[in-house]
Amino acid sequence: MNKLKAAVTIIISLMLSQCQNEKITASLDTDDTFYVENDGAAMRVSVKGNTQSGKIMLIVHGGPGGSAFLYHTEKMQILLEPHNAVAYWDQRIASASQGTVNKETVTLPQFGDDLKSVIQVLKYRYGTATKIYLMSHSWGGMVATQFLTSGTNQELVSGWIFANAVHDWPRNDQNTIDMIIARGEQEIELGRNVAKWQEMIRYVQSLVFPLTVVQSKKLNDYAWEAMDLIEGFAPLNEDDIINENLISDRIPYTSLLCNLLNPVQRQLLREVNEKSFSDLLVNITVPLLVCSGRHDFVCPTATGLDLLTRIGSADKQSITFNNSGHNLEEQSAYINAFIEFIACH
Amino acid sequence: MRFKPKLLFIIFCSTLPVFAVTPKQIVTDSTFHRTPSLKAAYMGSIIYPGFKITSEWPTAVYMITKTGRNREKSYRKEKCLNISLSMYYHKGFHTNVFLLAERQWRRIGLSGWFTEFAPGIGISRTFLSGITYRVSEAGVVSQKPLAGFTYAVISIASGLGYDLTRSWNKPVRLYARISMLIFAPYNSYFYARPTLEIGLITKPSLFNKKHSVSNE
Repeated sequence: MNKLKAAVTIIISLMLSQCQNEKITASLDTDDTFYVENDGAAMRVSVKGNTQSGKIMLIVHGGPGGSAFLYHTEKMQILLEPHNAVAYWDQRIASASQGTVNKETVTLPQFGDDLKSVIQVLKYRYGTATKIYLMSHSWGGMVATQFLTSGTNQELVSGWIFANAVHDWPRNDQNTIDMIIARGEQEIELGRNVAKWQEMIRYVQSLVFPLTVVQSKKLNDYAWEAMDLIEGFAPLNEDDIINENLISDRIPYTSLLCNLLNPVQRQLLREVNEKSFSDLLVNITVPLLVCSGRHDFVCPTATGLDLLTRIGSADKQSITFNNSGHNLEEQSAYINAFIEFIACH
Repeated sequence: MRFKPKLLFIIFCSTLPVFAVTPKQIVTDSTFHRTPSLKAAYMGSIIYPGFKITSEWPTAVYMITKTGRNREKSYRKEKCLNISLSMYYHKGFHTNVFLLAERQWRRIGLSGWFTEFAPGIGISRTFLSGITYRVSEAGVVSQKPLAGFTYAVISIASGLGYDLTRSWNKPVRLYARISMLIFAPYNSYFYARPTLEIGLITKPSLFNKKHSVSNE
């Protein structure tokens, strides 16, 4: 019976260990993991790097259903984390986020509200004076724009990095179509992958707006295929990052997979398929850095430039990376641009 | 098309041996003790540790003898009802404690090797691996104690083991099995988790004493 008592005591102490108040101290090498619970979702946030800097770059990852972990690369650890802290936030129904999320809460405004809660918790933990910089990638652009165009939310952040992202779904689809036609015709003239480019051009020319979710998805698939066809350019495969870290405790792969396959993701895509924030961008006044990859067919350079012209910010700049596609392939160059932007703001 | 009925007849005849019934003798082992066994196991995956403690209650035991053309094959079949308490720890994700009721079928060969299959249902409670915060509508941040979620669990397990009773003269069996745990509703969907279980099965003296009293 004593052994049984000991076992029960161990289990209870394990459970209660998380009830203890965490001692939060800023350091040069922070490695914290905590959760933010909001409307049924418990979203994992990992903060790594230099919190003494008083500046945190908050990753608003792609997807929907992606993972913040995919941005926690070796270069991010070596180049950015010694300067500033990085908050890797897994959005609801993504990666390590868990819970009993109701389908009704899987909406873009809810994602914006989640982002607000995460920022409030970061400021609570690391000090209200802590400066937060959003780094939105791909789908994360929609989440960040939703957040920044709601109420006075933009007062909570000191800058916005828009890296290969989207703020206007139909406009981005149009930009992908234009890019496939333009680059496709160039490639056909050069006699490269003629049949494939012709197939893609035929398809995109047949599209009539508004696109259905299925059409938008197929367009997205072609955008990824197009990047593979560009000679002399090797797109970064996210699967490689996953495979390299397969035996680690940083990501629950089964949760990532189940969340990715969750049919609710489709419901979200239906909602955003015709969503545009273009008319509201004039209200955003936070400093902006737009980063684009020249070979990015998924979120083309034109999408970033459209944001740049419409936004109300006086402090805005744009960088195009000539040998990058959608997944920030020239990582060092991207990260150095992030560091410089954060240092200046 | 004219040859189709003939062809079907030939196919039918060729499959007849499959349906041929091997003479089988089933003897219910009335001497088996309805005393529970205790299963204790490491349960987890490559890097996420856990444990499982099971109380295994036999409901029926049969000795089955199959007579083939040239030889006779005998094995023992056990049906059990299992109640188990399990826990695994996944760093940075959650600690999960779950209670399972399993129906288990085990087939033990004369060599001592056995296979088992056990579907089960139960309930799970997770405890998030990290401090959990909530933000009120007024923007006030607070910590949520014992944050986690309750899920229904479905489990399907299959494994093999070896009965050491003869060689050791002690009621000990070693086993390993693979389970698929499915937790729901997880984000309006489900969460599947494969686990590996390695452990031993024994009859603790505590249960044996009780049994002997009840037999008197």
